Amino acid sequence: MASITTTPFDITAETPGKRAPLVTGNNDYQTVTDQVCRLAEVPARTIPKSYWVALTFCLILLANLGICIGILFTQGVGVWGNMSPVFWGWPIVNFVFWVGIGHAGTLISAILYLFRQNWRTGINRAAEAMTIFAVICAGMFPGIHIGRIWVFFWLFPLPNSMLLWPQFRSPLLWDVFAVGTYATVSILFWYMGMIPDLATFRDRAVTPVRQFIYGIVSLGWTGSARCWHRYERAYLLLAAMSAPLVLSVHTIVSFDFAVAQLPGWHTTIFPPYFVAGAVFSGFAMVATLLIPARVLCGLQDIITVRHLESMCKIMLATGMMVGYAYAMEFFIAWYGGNPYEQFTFINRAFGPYWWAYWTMVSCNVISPQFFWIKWCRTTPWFMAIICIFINIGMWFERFVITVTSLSRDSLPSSWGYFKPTVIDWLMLIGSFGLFFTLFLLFCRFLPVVAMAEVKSVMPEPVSEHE
Amino acid sequence: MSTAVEQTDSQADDCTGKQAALAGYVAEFPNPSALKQAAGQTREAGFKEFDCYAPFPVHGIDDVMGIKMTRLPYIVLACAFTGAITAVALQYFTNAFDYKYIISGKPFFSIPADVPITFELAVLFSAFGSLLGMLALNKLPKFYNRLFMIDPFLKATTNGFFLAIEAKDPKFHENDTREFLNSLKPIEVVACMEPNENVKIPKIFLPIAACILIFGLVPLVVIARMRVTPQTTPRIEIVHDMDFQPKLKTQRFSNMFADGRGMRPRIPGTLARGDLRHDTAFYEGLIPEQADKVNREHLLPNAKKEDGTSVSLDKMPWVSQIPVPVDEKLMARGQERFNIYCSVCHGLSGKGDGIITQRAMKLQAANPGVGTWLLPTPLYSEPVRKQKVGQLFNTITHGVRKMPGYGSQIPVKDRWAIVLYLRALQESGSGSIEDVPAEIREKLNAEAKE
Ligand code: HEC
Repeated sequence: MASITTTPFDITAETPGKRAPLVTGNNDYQTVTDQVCRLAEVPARTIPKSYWVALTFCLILLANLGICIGILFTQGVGVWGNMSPVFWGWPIVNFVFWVGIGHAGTLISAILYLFRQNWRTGINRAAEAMTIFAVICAGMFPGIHIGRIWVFFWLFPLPNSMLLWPQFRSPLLWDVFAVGTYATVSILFWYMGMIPDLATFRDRAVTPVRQFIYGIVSLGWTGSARCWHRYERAYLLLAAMSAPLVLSVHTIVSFDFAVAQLPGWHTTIFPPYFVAGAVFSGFAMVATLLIPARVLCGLQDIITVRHLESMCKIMLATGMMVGYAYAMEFFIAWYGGNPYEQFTFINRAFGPYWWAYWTMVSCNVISPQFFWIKWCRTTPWFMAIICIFINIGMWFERFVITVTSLSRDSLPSSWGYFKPTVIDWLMLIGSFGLFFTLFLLFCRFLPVVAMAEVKSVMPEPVSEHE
Repeated sequence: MSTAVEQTDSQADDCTGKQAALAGYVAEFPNPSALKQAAGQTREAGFKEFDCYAPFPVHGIDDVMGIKMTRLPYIVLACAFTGAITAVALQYFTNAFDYKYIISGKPFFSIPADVPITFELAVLFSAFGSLLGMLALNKLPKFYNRLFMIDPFLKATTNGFFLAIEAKDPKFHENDTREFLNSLKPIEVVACMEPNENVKIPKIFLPIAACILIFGLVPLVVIARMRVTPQTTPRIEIVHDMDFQPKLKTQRFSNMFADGRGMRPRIPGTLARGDLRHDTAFYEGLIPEQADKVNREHLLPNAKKEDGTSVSLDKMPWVSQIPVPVDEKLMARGQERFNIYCSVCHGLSGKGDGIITQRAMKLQAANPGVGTWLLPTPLYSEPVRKQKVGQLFNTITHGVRKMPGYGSQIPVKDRWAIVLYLRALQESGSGSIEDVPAEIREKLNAEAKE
């Protein structure tokens, strides 16, 4: 079977008519499969050392998270810095941060699918996995924030001996449903996308254990055309549902704030602004993960520089939307003529939290501007640095929104200054441990690239029989 | 039968000892378009029970094979509606029907507030619908498949393109079909055998699974049973909630204070909440020096003494002076409050002709013997005029005989304002023309004549 021959070629070209191929190098269906399966199939001792180092490090962070949660459960929420008037401190900041990150995966797999952006095939699996892990991190924070953790099920409308029901007119309950639905649908979408690739794992398995496990999870998939037909329909339907879903989730998260009457929260711009920010931070996180992961898993031919460049362009666009939202908030504060709102915004930029505000602006608005330059968009190490800055900036955005508004509420006598505790810090770091641990395990045990989808956008091999 | 075809190694293994039945033929093709072409020809040749296998969906193969559009979208649509209806019903039932409560004055049931959850559940249900529907229509999970027994077929999920014709197709013929497949220029054609019988799930499996399930349920049943059984011993507290708090209860020892008392004595010169109520003149209309002797029960309407005789309110030590500074503002306030609270029964002039009274009288006249409405005493009648202000105050606070008390609605100072205004009403209601200043008297007479 012949393979795609690539002469030295600008692998980032995007001009219509002479686009770069989505898979570079001398690859055919077999070699693509080999590359994707490699990290999942090699014996443990041949895995690169860097993988073990990274995994150990992440497991330490994860253990730290476990200890912090243990302390929290036994001591109560007083171990956090949440204190009047800032009752929503880091846990909620972290929640919104992680949920936001969890938007890129479904955006890539659903919205880019509906827009027929074929370049998504290389990165969608990893991005979806990342989404799910981010949503796990996100869901953890409000989950442990409820104080009496052992009655967490009161969040759900379950019949109980007190004959009480949750209050459906509150955005906080909408949030439970939105994040819950999002997590479930993302997992379904991810799993469904993986079935054919898990079947590939099954068919390549050399040990009975692998054959058994992958055999179970791939449900007996054969790749029959009749199955593919329904599968593609189901995929399209899921994509069509996930597209509005992904927009709804951060919209509803923003309602947590926007429906409150606090100046600085009570604005109608929040839903679109939050969604743009979510996509922005999500892509930054996908890129932060994939730049090292493509090297670790040896996937440079499948996750090419063209993929990375496309992500940079999306970050540039959404970064400017976020910048626009920052500017518009100030404009409306002035134009709306509400003195309390005006105070809030001036206080944000020049009050006690000025440092947070300007960190946010420089990371989120200024740093993506580098992506106007082609060199910056096509140099992975540089991209990674910018993406990390964007991640930092987006965390600060949530900090600024939550903490600055609360610390200067409508009652000046109760104004305060929020100080995080050690536990706050360790938990934030620990949540990264959880996230990266899950991602590393994913790289080792599951197909990191949607092989079936990549193959379907590869040029067809010429038959040697003719 | 298997002797009729060339066997690959795997088939030979499969049929150890037994004669396996032919299940169909599988032909491998080099690439998607060859597969598509072969599929087209197979269909033209009249085969129905055939399928193509590829590692990814081959574009356009549905049409070539004549695959009909799946019903999946309708299933998903039905799921979406179910989800939406469930959400609306859930929100209506929980918040507007079963457990109504008012939050920030919001309506119990409002469409805009229901939109987010309705949308989310519609998506949730339809997502399950599309995954499970897809699996069900594809008859998955199906862990055993004859095709898996063919070695080359393992490539079907990597880079192999296969076409399989099943033996149950009416047009299938052992040799002809093989010839036909060979004419499609495949890489190779392989026979697929029916499974041997010994691939069944072992019989012991079911009982073991049932046992595990039953034993797994035991702890749950025990917990459920314990929860509903009354216990004489203290229950096991896994989570203490706030049942045991490190706090001091009344009459307990504490080494926090030098005197060892948990309860603290009152600090001299301070007032406790409610201490101000000792000002009986202001709060109760009773002369402070004699208030101690008054049994407060006797101040309530229709009170009886221990010996069964009724209490004479007139004899109580009522104050005769309004205990707050009297000025025009207080009078105006009193008028306003009186008109709000009292005039409905007593009428604006205190005559006893308020709108409620008028209606009650009308109803009583229409239905003789039914009503028990009592005409309110005219406020300027002689006995009421004689009452001290303290007693009037008490009437407002607790009510009297058939009149209900208004102490819970009207603040203390407003009650005194009303008492002041009552005095004015009594003055105007019982006065004669002589009380009116001469110059106004003329005018009044003139008006009366008209
Ligand atoms: C619900 C109708 C109603 C309202 C409202 C009402 N009263 Fe009366 N009031 C009565 C009735 C009926 C009586 C006669 C009670 C009886 O003799 O059993 C009465 C009697 C009185 C008396 C005479 C008590 C006595 O010792 O004979 C006074 C004084 C009085 N009301 C003052 C007030 C004042 C002041 C208010 C406003 C705070 C007020 N009432 C509001 C129905 C009402």
